[in-house]
Amino acid sequence: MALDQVNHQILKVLLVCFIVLGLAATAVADRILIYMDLNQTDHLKAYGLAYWCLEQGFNVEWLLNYRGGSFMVDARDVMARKATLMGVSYSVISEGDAAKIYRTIEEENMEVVLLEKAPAIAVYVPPDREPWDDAVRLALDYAEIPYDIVYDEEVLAGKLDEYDWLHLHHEDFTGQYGKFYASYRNADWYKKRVATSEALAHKLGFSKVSELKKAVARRIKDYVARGGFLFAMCSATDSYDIALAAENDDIVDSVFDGDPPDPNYQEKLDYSKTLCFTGFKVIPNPFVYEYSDIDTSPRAARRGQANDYFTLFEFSAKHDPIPTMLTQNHVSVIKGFMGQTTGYEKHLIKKTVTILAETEGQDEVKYLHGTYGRGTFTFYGGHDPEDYQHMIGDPPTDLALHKNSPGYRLILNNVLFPAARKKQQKT
Amino acid sequence: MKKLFCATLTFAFVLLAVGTCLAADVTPQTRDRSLATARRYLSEGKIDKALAELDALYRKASDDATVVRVYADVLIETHNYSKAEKILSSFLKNHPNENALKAKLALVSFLKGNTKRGMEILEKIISTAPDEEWTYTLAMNVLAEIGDREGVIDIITRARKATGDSTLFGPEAIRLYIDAGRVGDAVHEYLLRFASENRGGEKGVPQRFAQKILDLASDDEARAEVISALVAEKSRKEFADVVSRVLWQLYLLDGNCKAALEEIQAGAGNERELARSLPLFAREATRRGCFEECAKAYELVAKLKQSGLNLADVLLKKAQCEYLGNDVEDALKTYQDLVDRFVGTKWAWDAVLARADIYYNSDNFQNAVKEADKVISNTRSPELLARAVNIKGDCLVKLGDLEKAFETYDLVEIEWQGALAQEAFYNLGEISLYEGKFDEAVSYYNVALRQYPQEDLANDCIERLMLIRASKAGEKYPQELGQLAQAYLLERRGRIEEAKDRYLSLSKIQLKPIKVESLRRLAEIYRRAGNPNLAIAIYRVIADSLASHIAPAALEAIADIYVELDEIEKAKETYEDLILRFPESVAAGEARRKIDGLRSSQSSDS
Repeated sequence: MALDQVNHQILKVLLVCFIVLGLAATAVADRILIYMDLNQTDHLKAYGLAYWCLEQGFNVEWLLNYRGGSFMVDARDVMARKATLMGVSYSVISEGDAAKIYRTIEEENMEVVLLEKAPAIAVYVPPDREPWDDAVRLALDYAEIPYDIVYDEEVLAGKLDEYDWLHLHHEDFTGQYGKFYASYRNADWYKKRVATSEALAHKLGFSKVSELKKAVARRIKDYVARGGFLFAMCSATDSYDIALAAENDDIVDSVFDGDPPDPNYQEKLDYSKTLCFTGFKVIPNPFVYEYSDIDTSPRAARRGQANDYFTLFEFSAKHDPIPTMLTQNHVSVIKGFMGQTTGYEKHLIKKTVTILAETEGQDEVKYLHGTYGRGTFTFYGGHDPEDYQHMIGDPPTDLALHKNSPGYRLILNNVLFPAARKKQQKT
Repeated sequence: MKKLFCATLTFAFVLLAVGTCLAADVTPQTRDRSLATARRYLSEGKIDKALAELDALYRKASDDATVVRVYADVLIETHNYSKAEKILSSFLKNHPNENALKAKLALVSFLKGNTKRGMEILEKIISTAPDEEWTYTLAMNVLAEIGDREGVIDIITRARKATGDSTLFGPEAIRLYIDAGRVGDAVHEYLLRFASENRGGEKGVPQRFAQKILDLASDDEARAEVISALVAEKSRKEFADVVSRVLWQLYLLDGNCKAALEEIQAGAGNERELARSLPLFAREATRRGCFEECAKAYELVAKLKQSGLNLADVLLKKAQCEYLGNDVEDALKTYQDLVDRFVGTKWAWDAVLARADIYYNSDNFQNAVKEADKVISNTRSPELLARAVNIKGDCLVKLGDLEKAFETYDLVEIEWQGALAQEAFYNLGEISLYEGKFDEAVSYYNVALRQYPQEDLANDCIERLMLIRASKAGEKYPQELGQLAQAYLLERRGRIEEAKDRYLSLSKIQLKPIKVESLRRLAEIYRRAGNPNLAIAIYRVIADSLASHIAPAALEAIADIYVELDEIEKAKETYEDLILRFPESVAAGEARRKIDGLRSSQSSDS
């Protein structure tokens, strides 16, 4: 064999090696971009996919404000397979494309947040079946995000410390059984709820359900103070704060606890103990389906479904990544939805709280966020973002029909938000 | 010695003086402040601090009942029974009438294991006012505190005897009986309370108590106890209203529909009561598959003079129950009865069509045609006509008279709305297909698809259109398409074996659309015939070997069969295979939905 031929062979082998190595390097360096703009086929499952990646130990970059708050991960076959199975659309991009995205993010009101750990999630659910659905459980189930169920016993036993994120939904922390007395006092589910609540209160050593609920509210507050993330919706939001304010007060009518409210119930409220609301007036009348003047349901009812929308605020992604994370969406105006607590009167919100979304021109807040101790809380008014007026006994919403729901996205933003806590230096 | 005695006496006086002086220092305000401090410590879990606070307060105010009570409570709570006994005894020496604290002393005695003394104290309390409720309440509370359920029940019995009030402590007694698992006694208590509350004749009282008793029957065992308790009380007239309301429901829950119906008939006091209970019973009986009793119940309702229900509706439901109970002749008679009683009304025509359906399902096609003809000749309602046209057309196809079947389906008008109108146009396409008039068939499928795109047969129309178009070679249709159409007809006429042979031979040809379709039909036939494995094997050929356009549907069918076989993991794997191979297909979307469904049913099972 001539030397030239040998050199030629060596060159050929080297070339092949370069190509193979190059291809391998490209394969490793590729990224999967799960875009979250209007091109996404299933926004809700996309959150589940991001969560799944974290569970598998893969870091996820949350590209705040980039194409609706996209996610980016290192490309792996299993990930693409999972995305396809979940029906989540994505594109495989090169390192070069990723670098271009980073440049865009650097120049615009965008930010990259690294998600590192799948948050442990607890959902506060009473043991008996409720005749209404829970939007967060629907969203978690649909997105395939696992969670545990806790209730009063677990909370009082200190089990919350095992979780990063706690969700409360249509709960009544004032001990007035949801104030359903006027309409449902003779309904079986209501009577059962009263009986089981009383039994649980007695079992846990409380003379009244309201006292039990107050104790639970305090434990949840402690959990937040120690660094927990609290997300509450609907009546769990205002009733929770009312319970905190009424720590040394009796605001509960005799039809609920056998004795009348304190004659000075309003004066005895201690707003310094609440997380979010201040200066509100409670409504102990059992025939009024309201806990206080915090809720804006009557306004929403007057507006009507056709005119009910709320607007997300835009924040500086680089300076305020937390509110930016919580407001990631592919639209900025979202259709409203009612609940026992639909929204919050703006003048009753503490000044330290960040307003994330409001009904424009109405002084009515829909979505808010605040910090307490080392933790945070987020309140979201309304019951079910895809069922304008969810009535008792209505069937649960089928989220397969609302894969791109902006209202539900706000819930799932909250689920991923605790995963990013190690990158929160800027707030 | 005398000196020592004097010194001791002096010291005692000094102590008394200081004590009195201190006691005088405790104003109600300072006492309340101190108690509040102690309560705060308790709520914060600082028991030692609370005890210290209370101890200091007690030293200053040992004669104050509130202080003694709170202090004793905390001592009991912290198992410091001797100290509690000491302060209570000391207080009671000066205040022997403080029965609440006496009861607390009894509690301490029980907790210390001195049952005899505890009972003696309780008896003393009761003896202070043996015919008054409150003394028994104190005794009951103590016994309840130590978990002596039977003791509490004894006290309740004594209290009732002493006061002459047989319902005294009713709620407490019920709770105790339930806790003790004495369901029969709980039923008796409820009945006593019912009889007492029902005297005023207030509306809803029987219903309320009936519900409470039903709630006691939470499982099979409890239900049997409730039933036997109710049967034992059945003869008492004052309980009758509740007993009869509950018993039939319990029999029904037990699956004894016959006994339930007999109980309704025997227990109902009047027609109104029967009119209320019978339809409820009939609905539930249907749900439980007791069709015979359901029919009987509606028969009874039909005989009521003032049931408040529409007789035609009642007869329709009766006939439905009869038919579901395989009592075809009676069902036909009842429908005919309805036709005769409500001549010319929609109920009558519905009944005629129901008779036609029954005849069709019994393979009595001639009679079915006769019934359908009655509607076709006498009504103008598109809804009724569409139903009649389809029934008659289907019968004629079964009878092999395709020409008349075509004429019948052809009565459909383009203005008619809904699935039945679409079905008629689809059937016109089918008959054209059977007769080898493929272009004509295409026209009818197109009408059925475009005119009614939301209705159920739209996808079937698309499949037929794709098959015909894909089979067409140039301007000609292959003869195998005609053979396939004949196989369809045989299958539709119920000649399954002949159809199977045709499909089998067509599955061996080269013309792919017809080959695939024949295999699909074969798989469906095997699936329906209870041979899922063969069905799966054929679908696998369609999905894997032939790379057909219906591969996603074939995979979906395989997964569905696995679900039917309860092989959930295999079903999931197949759905996933479908999604990964055909991610953009309609079937992939369905597969994702079905995986979600399997996941949620698995999680609710667990």
